[in-house]
This record gives sequence, structure tokens and C-alpha cells, in this order.
Amino acid sequence: MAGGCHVTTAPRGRTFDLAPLLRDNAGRMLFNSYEFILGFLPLVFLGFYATAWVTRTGAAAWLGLASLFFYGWWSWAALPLLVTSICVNYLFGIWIGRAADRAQRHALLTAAVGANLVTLGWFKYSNFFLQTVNAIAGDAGHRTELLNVVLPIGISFYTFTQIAFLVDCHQGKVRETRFLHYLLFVTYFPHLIAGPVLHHAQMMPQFAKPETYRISPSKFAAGIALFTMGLAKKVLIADPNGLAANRLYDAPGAPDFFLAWHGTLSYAFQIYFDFAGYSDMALGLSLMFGIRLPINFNSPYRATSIIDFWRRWHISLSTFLRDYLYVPLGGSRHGAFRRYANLMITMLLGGLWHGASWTFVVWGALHGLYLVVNHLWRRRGSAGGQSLGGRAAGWLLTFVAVCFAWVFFRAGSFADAIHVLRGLVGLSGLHWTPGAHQWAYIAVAFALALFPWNSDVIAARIEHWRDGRPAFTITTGFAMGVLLMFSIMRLSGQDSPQFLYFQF
Amino acid sequence: MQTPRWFLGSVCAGALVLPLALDALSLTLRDVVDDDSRWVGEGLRQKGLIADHTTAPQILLAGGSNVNYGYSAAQIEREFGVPATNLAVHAGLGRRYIFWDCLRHAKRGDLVVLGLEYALYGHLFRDPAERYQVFIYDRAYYEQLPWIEKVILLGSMSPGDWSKLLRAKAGWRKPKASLSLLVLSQRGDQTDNTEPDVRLQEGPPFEGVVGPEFTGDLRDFAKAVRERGAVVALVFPNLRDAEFRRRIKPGFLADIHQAADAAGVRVVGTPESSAFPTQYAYNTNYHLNAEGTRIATRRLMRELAEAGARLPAHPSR
Repeated sequence: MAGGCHVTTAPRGRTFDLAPLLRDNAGRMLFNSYEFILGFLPLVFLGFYATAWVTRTGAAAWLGLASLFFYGWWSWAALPLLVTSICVNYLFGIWIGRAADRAQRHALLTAAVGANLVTLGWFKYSNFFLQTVNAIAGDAGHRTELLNVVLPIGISFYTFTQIAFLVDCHQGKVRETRFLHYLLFVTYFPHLIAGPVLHHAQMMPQFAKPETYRISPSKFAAGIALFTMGLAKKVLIADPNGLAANRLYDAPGAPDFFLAWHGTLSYAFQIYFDFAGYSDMALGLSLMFGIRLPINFNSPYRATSIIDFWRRWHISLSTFLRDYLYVPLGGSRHGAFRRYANLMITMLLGGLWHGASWTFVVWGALHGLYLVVNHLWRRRGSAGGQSLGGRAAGWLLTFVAVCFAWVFFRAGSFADAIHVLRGLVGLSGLHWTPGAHQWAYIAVAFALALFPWNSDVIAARIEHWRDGRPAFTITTGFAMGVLLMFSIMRLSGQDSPQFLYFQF
Repeated sequence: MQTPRWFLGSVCAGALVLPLALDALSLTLRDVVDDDSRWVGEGLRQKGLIADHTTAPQILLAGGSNVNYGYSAAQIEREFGVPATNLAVHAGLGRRYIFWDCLRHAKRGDLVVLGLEYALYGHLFRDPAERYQVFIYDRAYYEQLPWIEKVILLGSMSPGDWSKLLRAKAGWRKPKASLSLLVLSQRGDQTDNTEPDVRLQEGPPFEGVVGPEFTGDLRDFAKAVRERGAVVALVFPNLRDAEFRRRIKPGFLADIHQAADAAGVRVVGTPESSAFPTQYAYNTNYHLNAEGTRIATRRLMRELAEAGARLPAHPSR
């Protein structure tokens, strides 16, 4: 070595020093952060089962408090709003349960849902409303100053979770009088920030079972596997595809056909693997604690129709929108026209739920339109969709339609979206620009998205292995360990660690 | 019930084996011919040779490319009679690597002028330049790291990096016929900034914060420099004035001063005096053209004199 001197600039790092791992995402405790994986998770896990050995109520309290800490780590300023929301909705739940008659129950539900929607609207949509008013007023009109409102993380998810709870109370499906359990239901950290949107009945009965408070090696193994696959989806597939998508959408210009498709496919896979990865991690984390959460994705890019797509994509949200919006609007009970109108309304609001921007509304409108066309097609009773060729054509059409809609979801403005759409249909020329290696990420993502075994299937198999094939078990476990460590190591090289759905 | 336990044991084994395997695999990356990083590795090697061949005490110009393009060691020697070497190449190497490289060449009587890009004050980032430099050209740096830093550095290699470098090692990836290398003066200054090329690329992004580990890093570096009988002076990076006004906040500058004080390092000059008008920009917001370099070098020497810095004496004087 030149100069002959062996001097480290970090002499204090020779000991077991975790500081280097904790520096990269200071201020955030994401599922894919070192703080979470090496600090929070092991501590909460050990604390939960240690406390459960003494008292189950204490274990539930530990989990609830840890979840509040998890949320507070993100933003202590947003914590009072979450706690207030929980207290108010808990009280409404009690009052609805005790209401003397149907009219009183209905009034209480209306007040509670109204309060939730007003809160959500204030934080998420007030500036969107003002911007729209200003845009309509034009340059000549009076311009209203935008409000200094910061969107609290996860507000869309915990608001919807609690609305679902209140409606379930109103319908007599659930009753929760223990504040601690209600707190845990809303704040349980695997689902708090970005779902899945849960029903009380899907999770809380599991906390009543004694076996939940004992470590289950099979559930823990399946949980580790799910968490690993989710982390790998995020770190190894979504993030690299995201960089390619950003290159297109941050400055779209007039992309040619290949560039537009490269960026749009990259985004299609980024958002899928990012959110599906998050969901896998959430399900896996929960399974480590013995709690099974409902799946949120079921290989949506294998869908052969847009109806099929919405049964596979963000299942907990689409189920929520169906049960608490589409069905109350009348669903399909009042004729074809009302059914299609209800579909459009549901998807428009679903689009708006994702973000306070007209581009999200257009994304929702497009999906509403797709669904209407799909239902009309089905009404024609065409059998072509059952043949292999028909299914292949349906798959291709569905995938392309979904990709076109993603353009509005990702673009920063309508002008940007139009530029990309022109590129997608070849109106801006054909020039092969992205290199072969850049398509490799898309090819890998495509193959995984279409792979017959998705992560839920793999985790279920791991959980139910009982037949003693040690070679296969060891090989799979070893591969999973390599994948886990590689994903964790790659965290240090990440440029955009935040999950996309945290903004919604 | 043995199956889950076998599975979990295998997960642990796989997680432990991977870093060891990658560590071993990284040995094969030494001296790979890589078109994209060779200008950095070769530039550092040549500059290091120049510094090491200068037996007299000298000014060592250290930092990222704002120093590489911003100050002329040859001009310092010519106009001020002070021996000097420009060690700086690229901010993407990261501050720790820059410190490490500088320490290899610092000796008794030297004055290290450290001009770090604003990004280098923040949280540590992992640029490809750092990992390529470490695994291809300078494994000694990697070898002295604590194990956890080694794991982080190995992890910063993307699958694409591994694929590219292993293919190059296997001869499946042919190097370009003419590799672009730095055009250096006899004192290590990059001298290809004479032709106007004002495309003004952004340069490294930065958060405008002093990272929690910066003070410790700077303190350790200054201490190691002092142990060699040399001293450090911190200067603000050259940055185009419009960019300076747009992105540099007073609080950030105050934090830099505070960190330097805490590390026991003298700050020379002001951030405003290091901001330069667009007419002197070369090709990024951090790079000066030849005329700008001349002006900045004189300004640097004036500021060092005003600060009372003890300049190394030329042996002929």
C-alpha cells in the first residue's frame, strides 16, 4: 500500500457497533430499515412472549404500546391525532352497541362516520379542494392561500379500518368493550401504516386464543419466509424498477415507444412488488406473533380480466370499497344502469382515496370504465374467454389496460401523462434507447409476477410441512436465509427506501 | 415438529454463509478492467505517486471534484513557491475514503486543505465509485474496515455490479479501445477544463444537513493528520453562486462551523467566497473552468494567509 500506513478513519468501529447500520434512514422506522429488523422487531417479539408467559393481557398491552411507539417513531406530532381517533371511535363503538333502537344506532353511525371522513378530508383533501377552486377561478379570480396541513402517516388506512369497525358494530357483527383490545386492533404495527385494511373479526378473535401467546415454530417459520420474500420483492425488484420508472416520469419530455414502455412497465412492477412486498412483510411479521392477517395480493398480473384483477389487487381495499361503498350505494340490485353508475362512483372515490390529485381520479375513472366494459362483455355471454386463446387475449388486454391506467397514477401532471401515452402508442417515434441490462429487471419481475407459486402459497407450504423431507427443508431454508441476508445487506445501497403506499 | 426447526436453522446458516461467500468472491474483483471506474482508480494512483514523490512538506488539496477542478497545485507552486499536490478526484468516493486516501500521503509539515462537497457533510451515501474503487483498485481500504462496514460495503454491490464485474473478470465483457482517463498536470491538477462545456449537471444531491457521524469522522481524521505532524484546514466547496443561494441555508453552514469546532479543525474562508459566478463554471455546478481555477486558487492562498495558516516552505527558499 502506498505510503505504508494502515490507519482507519473509524477506529471506534472495531467493537460490536451497530451505529453504521442505523444511520441511513434516520428518523424513519420502516419494515425495511435496520432499526426495525435488528432493533424493534426482536425486542417486541421477545417482550411479547416473555410477558405472555406471565399475563396475556400484559402481552397484548405490550404489543399495543410497541405499536404506538412504532407510529410515534415516524411522527410524534401525528400520535395525538391517532390516539384521539382511537378514543373517539372506541366510544362510538360502545354507544352504537348500547343504542336503544335502530334510529339511534343509525344516527350514531352517521355521526361517527361523518367525523372520520371530515378528519380525513381535512388532512388529506383540504389543499386539493383549494387548489381546484383556485384553478377554476383562474388568474383573474381571488386566490385562496393553501393551508399548512401535514398528512399524518397511515391516516387513510386507520380511518378506513375504524369505519369498517363502526359499520360492523352497527350491523351487530362485532362488539368490543375492552379498550386495550380496540387499541391493539387499530394500532397493531404490522398493518397500521399501510394495511391490509382489517375487519375486527379477522384479527381480534385470534388474540383471544391461548395458543397465540405461545411461540409456534411452524407459524414463525412461515412468517420468516413471508417477511423474507416481501423484503426481497421490495429491495431487489421494486426499488431497481423504481429507479428506471423515475427516469421516465421525473422528466418525461417526449419519450419514444421503447422508452415509454420501459418506464411504464418498470413502474407497473415497482408498484406491484413494492406494495405486495410490504403486504408480505406485514403478513409475515404478524404470523411471527401467531396472528394470521388476510392476504392482500393474489398474483394480480395473472388476471385474465379487469374484474379478475380487482379480485387479486389490494384485496382488502377492494373488499372494503365493495362492502362499504358499492353495496350501500345499491350494488347491482337496481338494474344495469345503476350498477354501472355505482361501479364508476366506487372506482372514482377509490382513485381519490389513493391521493388528492385529479390524476388519481382519472386512474379510478379508467378502472371504473374498464369494469363497466368488462361487465357488459360478460352480459353478452361470450364464451371466448374460456378458451386458452381467449384467456391469453384477456390477460394481454387486461395487463395493457392496467399499464395505461398506471400512467395517470404515476405521472406528476396531465401534461406528463399525455407525453407518456403518446410514447406508448408510438406517436413519438421508435428509438431503441434502454440497454439490454435495463430490460433484465423487467424480465425478472415479469417472470416472478406470473410465477404460479406466489409468496402466500410458498409460506403456507412451509407452515404445513410435516412430512419430514429434511434435504428439501434444509435447501429451502438455506436459500431463504441467503435471500434474507442479501436483501438486508442491499438496504445499505438503497436510494428510495420508502414504500409507495405510505403516501396514500 | 422437527421440520420448522430444521427450516429455521437453515435460514440462519444461509444468512451467515452469504457474507462470507461474498467476501471471498470479492477477492476476484481485484484489478478487473472496468471502463466506468478506471479514471477514478488510475487518477488516485497517479496523484498518490505525485504526492509521495514530493519529499518536502507540501499543501495537499483533498476533497471531491470541486477541489480537483477548483484549485491548481501547479499554480500554488509556481506563484506562491509552496509545494502542493492535488489529491482530489471524485466526491462519489465518500468522505471516509477521501480521508483514508489523504492519510496515506500526509506527512510531517504538510497542510491538508480539505474541501468537501456539501453532500459529504450529510449522512453517508453509497456511490458506485466507492465500491468499485475499494473492490477493484484499493482492497487495503476494505481490509481495515470493521466487519459491519465490510458487510455494508458488500451489500452496496447490486446484482448488476456483481454481474458486470464478474463478466469483465471472465473476459466476457471487453474493455473499450480507449479508456477515458484524467488529464493531469505534473502536480495532479485536472487540466481539461480549458474548453467551455457549460452543461451544468447537477452534481451530487444533498440534504443540507450535517450527518450525525460527520463530526466524529472529521475529528478522527484531524487527529490522524496531527499524529503525522501535519495540520488540516477546512475550506468550503466551490459551488456556482445561483446554486449556492438556492440550496445552502444559514443553519446548515452554522452546523458545519459547529462540527468543525467540535472536531478541532480550523475553518478557512467563507462559504460565500467559495461561490462562483456562472461564467467560471465548467460542466457542473461544482466544477470551475481554467480561468475560475486561477481565481479560486489565488483566493484560497489569500484566505490561508489571512487565517495565519503556516504554509509549508519550498525547499529552495
